Amino acid sequence: MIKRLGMFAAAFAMAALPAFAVFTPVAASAACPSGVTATSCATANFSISATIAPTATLTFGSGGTFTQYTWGGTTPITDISTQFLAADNDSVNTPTIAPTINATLRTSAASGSTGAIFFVTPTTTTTTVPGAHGSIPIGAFSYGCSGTYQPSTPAGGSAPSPVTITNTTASPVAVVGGSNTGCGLSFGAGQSIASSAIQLNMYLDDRSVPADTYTLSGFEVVVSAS
Amino acid sequence: MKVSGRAWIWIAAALPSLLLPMAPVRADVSMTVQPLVTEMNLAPGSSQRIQLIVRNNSADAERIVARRTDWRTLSDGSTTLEKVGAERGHSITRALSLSSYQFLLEPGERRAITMTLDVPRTLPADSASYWGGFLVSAAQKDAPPSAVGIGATVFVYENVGSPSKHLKLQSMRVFSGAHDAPTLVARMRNDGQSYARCRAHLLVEQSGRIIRDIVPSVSVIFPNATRLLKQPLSQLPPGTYQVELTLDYGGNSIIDGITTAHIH
Repeated sequence: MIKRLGMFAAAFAMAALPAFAVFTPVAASAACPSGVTATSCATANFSISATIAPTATLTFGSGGTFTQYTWGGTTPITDISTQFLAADNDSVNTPTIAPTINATLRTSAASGSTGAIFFVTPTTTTTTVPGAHGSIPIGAFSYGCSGTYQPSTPAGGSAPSPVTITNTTASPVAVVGGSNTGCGLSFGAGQSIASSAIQLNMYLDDRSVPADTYTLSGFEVVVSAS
Repeated sequence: MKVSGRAWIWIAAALPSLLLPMAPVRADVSMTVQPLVTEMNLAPGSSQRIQLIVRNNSADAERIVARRTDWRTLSDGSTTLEKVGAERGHSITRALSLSSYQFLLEPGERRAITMTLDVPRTLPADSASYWGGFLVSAAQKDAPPSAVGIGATVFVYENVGSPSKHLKLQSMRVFSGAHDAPTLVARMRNDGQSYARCRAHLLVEQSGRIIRDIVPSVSVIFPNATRLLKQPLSQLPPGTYQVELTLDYGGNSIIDGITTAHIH
């Protein structure tokens, strides 16, 4: 059967476009320009190379307080009933908090810089209980998401329409160890994300999983520019 | 559906959650990382240092951890992180180092760390592109390992010599379904030796007027990689349109493709 594990969320922001300039002396001369009274003059020409690099500022959270997120909330998830979890969300499995992702992301307008949001997942799920059975391959998990990103172009131009993430619970996708982009998004140069509200749901097909206590760790929301 | 004759399976995100009462914790984890992208052009045997800035913007102490990672972009444009060395001959990650890989930042604290690229002498002197990087992660100092964290990538490109740049637009067409928004599908291939960081521009024209001006996102395209760009053209009323895609990949030319779209 498939087990609904819960929801997690994040909030992050990304902004600022720093410029780095390198000034390199190219030549010097002892000749004084006309009109300058001095015993000797030194002039220098400079070549300038500037790199405009995107900067990430991320903020994770709902702005309020909540218990540290654990799949299933504060109560461990137990295999009581279940099958298709979206419709079988018994209270013991319901997280007490269903936070959302809110993001502000600005990529550099410099050539070729694009931004992206994606999710990093662990490669395996291990048990820490002595004498326990072992691990669950991360591929046994799947996830779904729903919500919207609202892009914006503060520097001008037409305002893009909200991007709707429609990978809903009806068609959860397999979690692949490493990074998952199924609920991610890419940004064009100079664009930003004004707001977003994404809800994620994690599932586990536990038919072949031995009864045990398992630990999940290593999930991250990542912003990136390439 | 009830499970019969079967032991309970317990799955917790964190063992501490089983052992300790859960106290409310402020969720805000915030950091700034800059720069995210660095391009270098060094000869084998030489090195370059870059300063990275990491700042804790939150009200709590944060644990910062930086890990080496290979990475690449996929055919759909998404980014994926990989084990170090996965990019084989193009990976420069093992030649990258940081002055510090783990540290604590107090609220508001900012730290500069040095990233060094020591280009191996053993690299071929032939012109070629290499890439690699780090994943910089942040979590509250006291957060359990199970806490969902945040991360930012620091990607490095290194060109040895002057690898040729060339991008080819292989196909371009607008597909219009009965229930879906019309979508421009363009297929590109990097047939040069260098990575291609592209700027794309899409114009939708009708009767000489520009109806839509779109800046599609095209993440870096690596040598010998193919990219499938899918750009929805929503809210176009029925009619015939000219769709023009321009790609500036930093080479000697700009790619320009035009196709006609019939929206019913």
